[in-house]
Amino acid sequence: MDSKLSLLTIPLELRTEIYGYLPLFSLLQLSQTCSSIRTDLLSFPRILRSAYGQRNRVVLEGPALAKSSALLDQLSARYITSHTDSLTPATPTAAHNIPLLSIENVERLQGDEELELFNKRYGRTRVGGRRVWACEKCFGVLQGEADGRICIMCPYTPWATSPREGQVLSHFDTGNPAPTDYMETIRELAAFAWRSSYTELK
Amino acid sequence: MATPSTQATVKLQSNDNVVIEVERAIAERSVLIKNMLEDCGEVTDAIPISNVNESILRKVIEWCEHHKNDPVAAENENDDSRKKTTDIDEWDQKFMNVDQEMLFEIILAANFLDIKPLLDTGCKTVANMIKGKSPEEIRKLFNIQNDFTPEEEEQIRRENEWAEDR
Repeated sequence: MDSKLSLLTIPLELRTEIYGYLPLFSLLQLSQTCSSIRTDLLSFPRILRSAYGQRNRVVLEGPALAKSSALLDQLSARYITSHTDSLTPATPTAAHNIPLLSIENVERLQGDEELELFNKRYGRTRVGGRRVWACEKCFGVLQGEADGRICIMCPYTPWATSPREGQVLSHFDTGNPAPTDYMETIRELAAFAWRSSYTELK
Repeated sequence: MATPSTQATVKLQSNDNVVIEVERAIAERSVLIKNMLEDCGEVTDAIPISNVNESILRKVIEWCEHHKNDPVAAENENDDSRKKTTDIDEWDQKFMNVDQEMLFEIILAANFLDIKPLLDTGCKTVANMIKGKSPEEIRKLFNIQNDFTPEEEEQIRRENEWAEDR
C-alpha cells in the first residue's frame, strides 16, 4: 500500500461494492465525473438496473395498450380534471431506446440530499410544457402541474393510509369523487396492466 | 485435521513487523484468521498479515473488539439484503470519521481479512459521502479529474434531458 489510495485506485471489485449502495440518481451523478467511473458503471449494468429508484418499465402493446389508455383517460377525467395537466409518472410509457444512464430512468430519489440536488439541477425543467418535479414526501419523480409539493400517489399522506371520503378533495381541491373510488380505479388499472401481455425492458 | 485449539490469544504481525496480541475471539471476526486457526490448531508464532500496516491493523482490531459479540452473518446471506440501507450506527460513524486514505485502507484491510460487516460499513461510508452530490462536488471530494471528450460531454448532456414526445 505504497501509492496513495483513492476511489479510483482501489480495486474495481471494491468500487463496485460501493456503487452497490448508491441509489440510481447518485449513480448518474457519479457517472458524470470521469471516464473511468463511467466505464465501470456501463460495464456493470446490473448495478444500475438494481439500484434504488430505478424505474420499472412495462410496455403495453396492442389491445392491452388501448385498454390501459382508456382506463387512464377515465381516471384523468374523473379525478384530476381541475388540473391543467395530468399528474402522471415522468415516463408512463417506455421508449425502448432510453440509455442506461439517462435521468429518465430515475423513478424515485433517496432522501433530502438527493431531493435538494434534483431541484437544483432539474427543478426548472419543463417537458412539453409540464414541470418535472419530485415529491417532498415519497421522493417520487413526476411530471405535471401540482399545486402542492406532494404527489397524488404519495403513500405518506394521511389519506393514503386511511382513505376517507373528502380527504383527497381537500388535498388536491379537485371537486371530484371520493378516494375509495379513485383507489379502485388505480387498482383496476394496475391489475389490468399486470395481467396483460407486456415486455419488460429490464 | 488439526485438533481444535483452546488458546485464548493470538499474535498478529503487521507488514511493518509489529506484533500485536489479541483475544482469539476478537481475531476470529476475520474469516481469514478464523479459517487459518481452524486449519492449523494451536498457533504460537505471530500470524503475518502481509497487506496491512500497524496503524490500520490496530484500527481493525479496535473495530473487531467493539463488535466481538455481534451475531455472525449467515454465510449464504443474500447480498442484496445487505445493500438495502446505508444506515450506519453511531459508533461506526465515529470510527469511520478518518481521512480518506485511512478509510480506503480500512476497506482494503477488511476485504483482505474477510470481515464483511467492516467492509460493508466502509463501503456505506463512502457511498454516503457520494450520495446527493453533484458531479463537480464528487470530483472535488475525491480529487477526480474531468477527462471527458467533447463527444462524451455531449452524450452526458443528452442523458440529462427528458424526451419531449411522451
